[in-house]
Amino acid sequence: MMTEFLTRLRFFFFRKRRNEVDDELQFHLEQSIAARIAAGLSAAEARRQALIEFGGVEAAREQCEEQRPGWWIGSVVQDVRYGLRGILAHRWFSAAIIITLALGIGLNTMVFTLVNAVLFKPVPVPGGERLVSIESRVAAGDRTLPLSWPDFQDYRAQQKSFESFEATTDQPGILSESGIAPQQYHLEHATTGIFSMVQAKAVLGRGFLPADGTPSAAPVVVISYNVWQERYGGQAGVIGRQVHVNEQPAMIVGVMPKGFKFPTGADLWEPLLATPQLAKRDNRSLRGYGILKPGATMRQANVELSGIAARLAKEFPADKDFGVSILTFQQRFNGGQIRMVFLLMLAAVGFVLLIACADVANMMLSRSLGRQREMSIRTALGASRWRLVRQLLIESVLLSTMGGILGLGLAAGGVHWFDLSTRAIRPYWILFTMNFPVFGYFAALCVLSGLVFGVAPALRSSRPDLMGVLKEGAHSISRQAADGSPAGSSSHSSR
Amino acid sequence: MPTSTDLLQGTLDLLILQTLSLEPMHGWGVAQRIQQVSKDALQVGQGSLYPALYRLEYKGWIKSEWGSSENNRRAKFYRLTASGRKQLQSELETWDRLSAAIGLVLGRATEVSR
Repeated sequence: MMTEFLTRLRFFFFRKRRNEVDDELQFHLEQSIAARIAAGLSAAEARRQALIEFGGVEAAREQCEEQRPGWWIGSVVQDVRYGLRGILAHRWFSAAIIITLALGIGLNTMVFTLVNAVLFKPVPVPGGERLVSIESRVAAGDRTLPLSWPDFQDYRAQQKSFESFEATTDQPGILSESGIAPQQYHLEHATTGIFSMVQAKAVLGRGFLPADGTPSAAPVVVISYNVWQERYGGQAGVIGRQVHVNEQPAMIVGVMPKGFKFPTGADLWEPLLATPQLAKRDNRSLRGYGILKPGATMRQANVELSGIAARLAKEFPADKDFGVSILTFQQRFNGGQIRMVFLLMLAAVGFVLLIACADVANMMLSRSLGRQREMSIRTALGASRWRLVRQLLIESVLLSTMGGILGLGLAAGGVHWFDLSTRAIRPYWILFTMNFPVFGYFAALCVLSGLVFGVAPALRSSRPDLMGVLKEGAHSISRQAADGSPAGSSSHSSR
Repeated sequence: MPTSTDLLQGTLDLLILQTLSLEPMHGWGVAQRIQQVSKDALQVGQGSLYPALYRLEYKGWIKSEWGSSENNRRAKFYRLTASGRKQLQSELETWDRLSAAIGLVLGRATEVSR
């Protein structure tokens, strides 16, 4: 069906000459006359009968045109052009509507950007959309507890839904060495795959090697870009430096890239070593992180790990009454009240937009009274009701889109301000930036709000009282003067 | 005159394709041929004929060329394309199935097949 598609495409771009139809219809008519003359009619009579049978040319011509692929685009373009003219002609009226909508749509887009970042957007690491947090769940409720080291080992060994499965435990880490004052940082003890899980590479030195996790290995520490800059002034010589972390010796072996704080705001990373303390099943101190295999869902992973948890619960008394909880970062760290607050905020600004739409609908309605004559004339000239409604809706969507674009500017400004003012207190993985879902939401808002405030006025003014209004036009009864048209007001006195 | 139902429109398309499968023809010729072959039972008015021809041409099933008619007038001739021939074939099959089925339902299977 390739040729068919190409044919359509060709006609989409190259329309036929208009008089082609005329020539063809003319030929048809002449043939019809000729056939009648041949049958014995006089020339005049033949022509008369042929014309009667032939019927209206214009209708056939229009129908031929309507067969063309994409013919309706032309009429939509017409409507858009007409709508723009109308908007320019009433520029103060339009400006009031556009500003109202800009505030409404801008506010909504801004809040949605925040909500999206806090509740939905994947963590900004490679594979972030598949990144989940794994913890133990107290079977009797929704409360969660960290994993124990042996549990984590069992999960990791038996699972099949994850590409990588790592764990960390965090604590304050005091970095000290001779010559520089000790400083406290956020220290993560992590299994050695933690960096490769999110495909992070050290900007200087190296990340962890598998051997770093064995008890006999020389102790190492990896530092964040921030620590490197602030404590060591960004010197390359920092690699190989002997320091103390919580009074235990360690050697700095790597610096992570700027902004990398995985999983939750870490400054220092040390390999997690299986100490006898950690080996107890009731010592719950590890947070699990996993990247799902492509195609594996959270539900599948949940079923699988729940099965493992059930086996562990039977086998070990310490795991009795424990299940497993797999959540995204947003669900894990921004659940409960944070989620509630953001959703309420979204609902609140949604109502603001609805009120703005109602307001604009009122303005449009009041204007539609003044457009009754225009609508009557167009109806009298043959416009269908649907065509009028479409025209009016295109006008209102144009208005809402203009408002929306202005609003998008406001939203971008607002988001930027929010981003700056929360930089110090928010988790590093929440980025207040606009992405495709935000633009989709924005576009939907523009179109929908245009339809919402446009539909009532459009239905109202597309059904004019034809006779009444046209008569009014002729006699100019006083009500007509209200719309401010010169014709109406000048002959006002005639009543 | 505007073709009212899908059934009618589809049928007209089928008639036109079938007529053009014999030889290239102009619009008037198609109308005449359908009228003659159907013994005046089917009369195709220009109001539905030309939109149908344009529709078929836009779909790429027929092609048009200007030529001269029997009485040496300039006329637009339509001819079936390769994909039009395929379309005709599949529409004929559909038609056979449909009319046989309707015939069965109406209990006139013999009359239909005659």
